[in-house]
Amino acid sequence: MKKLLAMLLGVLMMFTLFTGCSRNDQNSTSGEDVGSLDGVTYDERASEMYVDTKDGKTRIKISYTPGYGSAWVLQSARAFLLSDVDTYGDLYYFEFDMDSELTTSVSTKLESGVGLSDIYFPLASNWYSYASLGYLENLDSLYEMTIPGETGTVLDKISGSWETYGQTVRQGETHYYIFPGNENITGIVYNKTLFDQYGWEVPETTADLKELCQQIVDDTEGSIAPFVYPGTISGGYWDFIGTNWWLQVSGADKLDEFMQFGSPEVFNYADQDDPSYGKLRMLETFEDIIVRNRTTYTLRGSASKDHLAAQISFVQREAAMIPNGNWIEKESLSSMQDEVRMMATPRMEGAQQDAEGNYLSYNYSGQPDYMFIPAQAANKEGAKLFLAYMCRDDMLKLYTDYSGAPRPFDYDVSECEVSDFIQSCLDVWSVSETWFENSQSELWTANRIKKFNLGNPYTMLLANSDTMSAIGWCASEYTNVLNSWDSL
Amino acid sequence: MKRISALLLSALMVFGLTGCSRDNSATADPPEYTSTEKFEIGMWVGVSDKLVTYDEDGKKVSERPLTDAEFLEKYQEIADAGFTVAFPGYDVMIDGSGGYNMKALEAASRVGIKHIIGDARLSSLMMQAKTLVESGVYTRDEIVEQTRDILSPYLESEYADALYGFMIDDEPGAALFSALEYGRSIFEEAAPDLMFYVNLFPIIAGGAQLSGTTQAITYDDYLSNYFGTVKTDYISYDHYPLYGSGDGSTSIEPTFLYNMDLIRTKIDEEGAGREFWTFLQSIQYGGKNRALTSKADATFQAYSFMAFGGDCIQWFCYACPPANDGATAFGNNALIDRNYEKTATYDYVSGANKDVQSFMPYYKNFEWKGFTLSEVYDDTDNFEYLSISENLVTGGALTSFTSTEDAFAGVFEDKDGNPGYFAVNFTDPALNKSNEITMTFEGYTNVLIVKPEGNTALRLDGGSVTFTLGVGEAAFVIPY
Repeated sequence: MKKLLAMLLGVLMMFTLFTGCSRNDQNSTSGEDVGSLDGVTYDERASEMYVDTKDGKTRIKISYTPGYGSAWVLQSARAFLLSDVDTYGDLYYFEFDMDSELTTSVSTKLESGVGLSDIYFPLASNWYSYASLGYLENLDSLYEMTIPGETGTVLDKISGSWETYGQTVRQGETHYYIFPGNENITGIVYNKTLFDQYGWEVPETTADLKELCQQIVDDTEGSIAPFVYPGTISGGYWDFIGTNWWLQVSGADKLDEFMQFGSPEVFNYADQDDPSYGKLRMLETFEDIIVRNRTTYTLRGSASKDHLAAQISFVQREAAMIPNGNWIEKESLSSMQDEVRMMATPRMEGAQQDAEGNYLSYNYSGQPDYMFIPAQAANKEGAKLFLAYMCRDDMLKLYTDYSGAPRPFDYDVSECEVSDFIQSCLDVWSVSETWFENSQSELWTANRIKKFNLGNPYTMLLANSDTMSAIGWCASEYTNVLNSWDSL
Repeated sequence: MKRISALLLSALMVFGLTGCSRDNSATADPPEYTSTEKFEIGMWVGVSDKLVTYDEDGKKVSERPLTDAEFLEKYQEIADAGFTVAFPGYDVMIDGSGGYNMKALEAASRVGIKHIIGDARLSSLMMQAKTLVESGVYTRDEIVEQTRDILSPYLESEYADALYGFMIDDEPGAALFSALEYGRSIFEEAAPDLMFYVNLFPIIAGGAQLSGTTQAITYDDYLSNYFGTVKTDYISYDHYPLYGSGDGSTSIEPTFLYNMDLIRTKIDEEGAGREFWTFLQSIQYGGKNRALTSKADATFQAYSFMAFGGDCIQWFCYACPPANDGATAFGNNALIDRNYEKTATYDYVSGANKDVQSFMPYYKNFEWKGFTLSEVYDDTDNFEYLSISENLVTGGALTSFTSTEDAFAGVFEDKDGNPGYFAVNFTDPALNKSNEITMTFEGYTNVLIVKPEGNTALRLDGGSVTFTLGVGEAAFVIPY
């Protein structure tokens, strides 16, 4: 890993020698523009950053996944080291560890205790077991910390479900163990250039979406598929649309009720008041638009594509739309010439409205990304200070500028300097209530029960369209849960 | 002349161009080792007695029974690929009692291999035996008799020689270990020569998943619990290392070796001589695990396990499961595809199996003692976990072990205490890196280097020998 990075960086350094004039003082890591690193020394080979020297200073080591690139962490670290609040640069230096396997390997890292970082930022995963095993540092003091350079505490600034999501009970006491990471924005990403070229309208309703799919097939004589999806990933990313539809029909309160798993009845779908009613409705919509038209509305071969392969097909104009999220820009759009946007998830028939008759809009963020500090980390206090510093208004804005992702804190994203694509994501996010799976149910935290408890309905419906229906799948799921509830 | 040229060429290929112009012929004959014992090679998802065809999206198109001749032909292909133990097809894995099992045993017997089969009556009885006895429904002796009744058709079959054992459970939580042990003891009484097959979770499984309850436990606790409770004479687990992405990038799962090290440590601490079994990857599945693209992808995995003194590798999978089982998407690129046609993976894995067996005359004469690392870059992040292992050997005959890329070596001893080293080029096979290995020995003059393509005896130069391991390659190195 280290050698590969060194080779890449070597090539990049050569490249920079010849092209540096046009890029001014911008730095580049593995092809990513990470911005100016003036004022600090960044040793790319060692993945370390410091002011003047690291001698005599305490390391803060951060492990993170590559989905949002490295610019956000390099710039955040630089700002911290050059802080106008305190002389952090005299006390600390940073080591960065971008790890594509972090999410699956972090439990082993914590159990082994070998080479622990001070901060981990994995993708969504079941952190409750880490907390119950005593691997995670109690973060109560971080939540209570006054944000450096501001007057309020960290907790004061956290928004939505995140105010409590990081808490769990360990040894009879409730404490914070994880810290808010990203708030992902999901839905349908589309090729705006193609839409403009063919005069396709962004659909407002699911009926419009179905018409649009057929229009794309007709206008391009089947040469451009309406959708490409990553079929090797469970659910094929369809849940980024599906749960948004479920939320539209059932509302966030019903999904919150569902996620408490109080009884098997939360899987009942028969009446509109049942939490799973919206699940059935959204699966029927998915069945009507996608499953029944699988061969024409989805790109051939989608079933065997992973997320990157599907995104490459989207970039190569093989499909006009892809179920995805705001992270696609960092992952796959750097070489795309076409304009890309995210659309508000088309509205389901029966979508709920507020008192003024406005349709409720939701953003399903997927299971949340979070940060934590290991209980055995070498520099827990430095890590907490840095995480608190990252909650400053300017740092939150910096994070969104460089990552394209908002964080669940109260700050003004309209001031962020982002691409047109990210702006379209933020536009969706700004008018939506963000929802994610948040449950303290032991069945949920121990992974004994799932939101979809009978395999993944999207892939099962796609693979068994002749023999399985949405109503059949929901009935089987409900029966299965009823029969197994006492042994869960 | 052709033979001499071939030998010279072979020697050059084995050792690469090391720039050494002086005569480095061995000054004494190398030690001789012989063994007819085979390395056990098994599988997950074997051949069913039905042929189900699928379209390119994995959608089922048709189904028909295989003829007896077709079925036997498929088993001959299994044997030809170097497998010693077959496993049932996807639809009969849990229960082949409806006729499949007998057909499978006959086919396995005819092609000269063994078979693990599944019988739902047996696995259910084994898992419930403890409860049934403790609640007074049956006595222990009655359960033993019921077990014998289920087993008798198989044991009395003229093809019983092919029966290796029964699939009982895959990846059980620790909450089931007590019941498993009770069932195992009954099974042992009813059929002492057959395997009661249970496969354990890998290290990447989650805490509550490991416990099988709502309480999380560590992987170390999971293993300790199994070792302390379930007295199988082997340990089997699955952990798959070959990652790839749709953009063409590849990597190696960072805990691939660490999982081996943890289990190896438990086996040695216990001292009961349990065999060490693992599943290795031979199919693309999920969003990360990639298809094999070379024989090196297979040998890399197998040799890594051999360097930890493993006793059996099983390939996951031989035949392809359905394209999507509701939880996981599977590629159509195991050894045979969903229409039971050979794929390129068949050639890769069968070649690897053959190469694995070529080491057996030496490997089977040595006992594992530990390992040593040559960390150059730790490109796969595997070595970091091993750096604190108690199995890390320092000292001894090998005074230096260096390489141009990451490498590690299993440290072995024969019955007389003579050392042997199983050196592995531990680089991602997809990156196509060869690796120049230098080993320095104290107290030895010559060295025998065993590779699938042939053995070479050399005189040590100042105690050292340098040779090249190609991508996915390993060598058994015996100083003398």
